[in-house]
Amino acid sequence: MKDKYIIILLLDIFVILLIIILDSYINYIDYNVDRLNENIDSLQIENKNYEKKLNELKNENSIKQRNIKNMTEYIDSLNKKVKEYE
Amino acid sequence: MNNKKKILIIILILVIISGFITLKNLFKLYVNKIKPYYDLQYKYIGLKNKNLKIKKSINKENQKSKDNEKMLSEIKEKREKLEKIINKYEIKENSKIVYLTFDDGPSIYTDDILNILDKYNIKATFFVTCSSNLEEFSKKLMKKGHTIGLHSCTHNYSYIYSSKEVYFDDLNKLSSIIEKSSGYKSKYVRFPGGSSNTVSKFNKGIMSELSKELTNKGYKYFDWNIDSNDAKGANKEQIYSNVIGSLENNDRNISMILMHDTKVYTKDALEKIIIDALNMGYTFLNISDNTKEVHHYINN
Repeated sequence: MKDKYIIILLLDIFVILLIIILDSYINYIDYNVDRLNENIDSLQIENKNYEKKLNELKNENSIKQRNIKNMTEYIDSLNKKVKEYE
Repeated sequence: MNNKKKILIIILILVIISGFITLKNLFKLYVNKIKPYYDLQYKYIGLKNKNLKIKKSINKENQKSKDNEKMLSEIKEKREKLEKIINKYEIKENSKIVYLTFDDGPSIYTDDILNILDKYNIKATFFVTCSSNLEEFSKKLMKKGHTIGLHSCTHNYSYIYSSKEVYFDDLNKLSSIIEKSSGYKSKYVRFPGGSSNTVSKFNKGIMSELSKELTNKGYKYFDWNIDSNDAKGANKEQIYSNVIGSLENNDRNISMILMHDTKVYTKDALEKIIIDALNMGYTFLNISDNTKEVHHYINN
């Protein structure tokens, strides 16, 4: 009979320990999920803003490139005329 | 079977049942908590990587932008040298050049216009008046490499065109404010209403006199050959089509566009005008000593 009680006691302890461990793990996961969700939200907003900025910069740079192309053509035409004259 | 054995079998069955329940709950835990948690972690890592990639691209574009500015300043130096030679030898040029000119400012819209010009590294010419913020803007315009031209201090037709002396008093007052604040003495003038104006007809011959006198005093005056009509109440779309329409059907080498930085629609139309004119192959320049004067027919 003594063995039976010891086994039951050990099983109880095992179940209680398991519940405590699982509960802490769930709490840890819940905390991390909240934190991750916050970080993901802020990252998504940040990425959206950066993407917008990047697109604007790309558009600006393509117009600037066009400006440089026109200016270069203008310079070339001036150079050509000066050479022709000289 | 004795009692001891029975108890052990019951305990064993209980252990098996509780083990099964625990496994089932662990599976539920994995599906509901652990898997979503790791999925979130992967999502976070993915976003973080994307973030780094975008930041890298932005740095690259910023570097490109700096390179573009450097190239443009080099081009500007070359352009000035070549234009001097061209002017010296009076060689006729046939490139498509646009001069953006803004009259009547500075105003509350001038800063926005400067920002748009900065965005595309475009230099323009501002024919200013004696506004309350003229000193501040004179410095700013010089710093940004734009040209300051003299319009009129008061812009009061009946006053400035009443006599030659009054006109030059008004002009000198404007010029000295600019010189004091920015150290720059402008030689470029635009008559209020243009040299072809008829509002000065109350004083017969004044425009012919003034235009001659300006040239004698070493000034250069500039009218325009494209009017955005912004001063006549055109809206954003009309300003755009007036300018771009004229540039499309343009056989002139030099397009001198009249705009006003005192008009909100001018500011709104400007960016699209710049983009489309560049795509049409036009080169934007600001007025310099090498710029050929654009004159109207003098009516008075």
